[in-house]
Amino acid sequence: MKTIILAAILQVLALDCFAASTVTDSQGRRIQFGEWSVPKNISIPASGTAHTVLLRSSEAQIVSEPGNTQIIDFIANPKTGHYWIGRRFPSYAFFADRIIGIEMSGVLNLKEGFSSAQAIPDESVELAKGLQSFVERPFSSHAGKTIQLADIFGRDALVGLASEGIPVGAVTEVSVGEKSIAISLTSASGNALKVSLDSNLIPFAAEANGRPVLLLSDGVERLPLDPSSPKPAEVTSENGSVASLQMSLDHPYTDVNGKRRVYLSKAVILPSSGLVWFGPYRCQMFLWGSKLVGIEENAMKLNLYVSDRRIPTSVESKAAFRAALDEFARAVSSGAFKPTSQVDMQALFDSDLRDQTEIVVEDLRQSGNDLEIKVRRTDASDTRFKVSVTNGLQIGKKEKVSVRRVRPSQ
Amino acid sequence: MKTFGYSFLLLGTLGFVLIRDVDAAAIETITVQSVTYHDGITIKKDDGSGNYPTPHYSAANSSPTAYPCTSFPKATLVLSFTPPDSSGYFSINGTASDNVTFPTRTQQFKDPNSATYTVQDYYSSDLPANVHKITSVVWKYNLNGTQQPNTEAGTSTNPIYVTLRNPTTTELFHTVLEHACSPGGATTDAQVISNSWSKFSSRTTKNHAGENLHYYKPNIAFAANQNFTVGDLLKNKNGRCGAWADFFMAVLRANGVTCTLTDVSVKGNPYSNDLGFAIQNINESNTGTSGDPLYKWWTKSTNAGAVNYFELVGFGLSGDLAYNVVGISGQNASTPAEKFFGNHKVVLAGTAAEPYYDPSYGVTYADAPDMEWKSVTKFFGYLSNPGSPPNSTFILTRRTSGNMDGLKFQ
Repeated sequence: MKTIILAAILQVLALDCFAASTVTDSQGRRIQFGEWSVPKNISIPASGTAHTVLLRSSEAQIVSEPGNTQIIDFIANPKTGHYWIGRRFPSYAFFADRIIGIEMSGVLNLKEGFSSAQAIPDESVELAKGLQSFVERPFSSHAGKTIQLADIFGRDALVGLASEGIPVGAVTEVSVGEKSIAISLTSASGNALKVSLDSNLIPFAAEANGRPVLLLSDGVERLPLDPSSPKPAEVTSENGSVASLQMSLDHPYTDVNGKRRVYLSKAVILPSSGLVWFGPYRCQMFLWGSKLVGIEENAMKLNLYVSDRRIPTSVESKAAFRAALDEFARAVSSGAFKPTSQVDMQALFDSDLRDQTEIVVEDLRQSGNDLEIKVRRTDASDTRFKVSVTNGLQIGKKEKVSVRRVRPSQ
Repeated sequence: MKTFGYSFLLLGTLGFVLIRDVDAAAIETITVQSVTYHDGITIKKDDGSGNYPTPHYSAANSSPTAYPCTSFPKATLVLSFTPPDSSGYFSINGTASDNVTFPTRTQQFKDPNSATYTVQDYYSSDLPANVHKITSVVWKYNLNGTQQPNTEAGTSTNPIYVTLRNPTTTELFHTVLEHACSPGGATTDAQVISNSWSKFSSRTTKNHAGENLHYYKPNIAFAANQNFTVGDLLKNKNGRCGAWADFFMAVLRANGVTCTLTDVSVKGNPYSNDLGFAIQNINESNTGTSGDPLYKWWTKSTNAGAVNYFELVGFGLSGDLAYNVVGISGQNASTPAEKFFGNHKVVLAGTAAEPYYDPSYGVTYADAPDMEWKSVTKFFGYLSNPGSPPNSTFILTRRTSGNMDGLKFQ
């Protein structure tokens, strides 16, 4: 079928290859192309000197859907045989021996053009080849990469307060080197973002508002446990709040009713030191000296998850984070992931907590080298329970305190 | 009526001296002129104009206040007397609608230059240890200082909200306290969560004055629906999902109950072109004409710019989908004006790992697959602005998959 259509296209083009035409796709839909514009020289970024290419444009629409009109660009370098055809992209560049269409649409779309492997003596032949693939799959006829910018910069950097809207941004600059291409973007929330890609169009470095971003994912290769985009969060410490990135991690499973469910865990990373932590999503986090500790309320017990693992904050961060995440994913999947330590509050404060079924962590502090945990009951009691955990994860002091306001004499 | 008044003056250890106030009249009536509460929780007006004024109760004011149930109200009571130049002893007390009492005090009124008397530092008895709302305090007096008060001096009717413990939010608007404390009776975090949610699950949530609060009120353009916080929502009686989540969290935190904001977004794996999702119901008008094998149905936005919106009710979109289909209703909006979202906000309450509360739609979810199953109808991707008219924006949509694997909670 495709051969027949290509033959038909070539037949149409042979009459007047750049005149208005109508072609029919494999589903029988008629697609109407307007007259192609006269060729225009445009300059696109390339390594060293910018490349000059020919640009022609046309409008295409499905005849039965007159509202859905698309502008089609045909870009060709007759000298090298490289060409590009498809719906219009806002930016083009020549990098690693192909023309690339670049579009920021929440994700970064990079679509690769084609090559005739020799100089193009007759543009119409290449146009016909390109039209064939476009007509059949107008939105995905090209090879290329879709880079999940949210995986690199986090959704907040992309959409900010307008987060319920749909993230859009724009490509502001493309800079092509011999072995890398740097794409500068502005996000819907006004952040200046920059991502550098290797010749396979895989990101290896990123910046947000001129500051390096710790690369935990390249936005192309999917990581285990489907991490969400990194989200800025604060971890409390003895010296106040410390900036961190947090990602939720999904562990899918099927429940007893056969329904797909997700067990949520999370990763917490301190970009300043490379300290990483993995554990249950509900944990309250605290920077305890050089360690990250997550505390999970589990009925009348407290589960402590402690980590002192670090990843490099250099270009190796992506691979090191991947290795750490792989290890955690294996432990979760095999059921081997367990708390580092557990504090049984009911055993420690039996007479005061005997009637309770759950407790709430109200405050975390560092006292000397110890971690001090303050817990309350879930009713209106004015009693609090403090317990300290030593560096060796042993129970230190325990204390019951009252927070009740004292009424002065009338 | 002039009469003789007597008062006792204590002179050190010399004993009592009877003083006769020859010109003073006997007290005939006592009326509560104003009540001011101290050391309580300051409450903001819904309209954003600041805190409620004091006195909390007077002819001009009916200002709400609040106390945690581990505390006790402290009042300043201003009483007026007839005849104005009267003097003498009186006893006074107050009984609140929850049977909390301001214990009987015996005072002497004797100020020829004033017709009022101020009772300072008037502490109540202990509050009942549960969440509730005091609707009134009945004040009574007796002109015989040795007898229990039995004549009404007036009823102060300003609301006094009693919370489970100290609030952990500053978003203490009148409506927040109203929903936090009514219905009352909660003595545990779980009961607070259940009672609070009962005000949202009907999808007819109102403010303290009984006026409807809307989620994406129909026939209002997206740009005018930009209410992000609980303050914006209560002021404009309309809000986005973030404002509704903020509202529900403020209600929980008013009682000192912990909660966590959870972001819902597309997972991006295996559907790497997903940018957002659409809430039920949106029907397909045809089998899809986009040409993409997965994202078959196209839609053109009503607005193009830094962020694109897809207003449904009252605006209309063009494309392959039928939009104005009654589906999941939002708060006081049977078909909310927006159904396409880049993300959404839900709330985890207390220490439980589930459910996630969705105050915008009054429903709960066990996890992300459960939300996709209950609420989502489509996912969209491929945002682009290819065509005619210039800068109009297209999105292409796919159906949800049977695996319920398109959403992520974070």
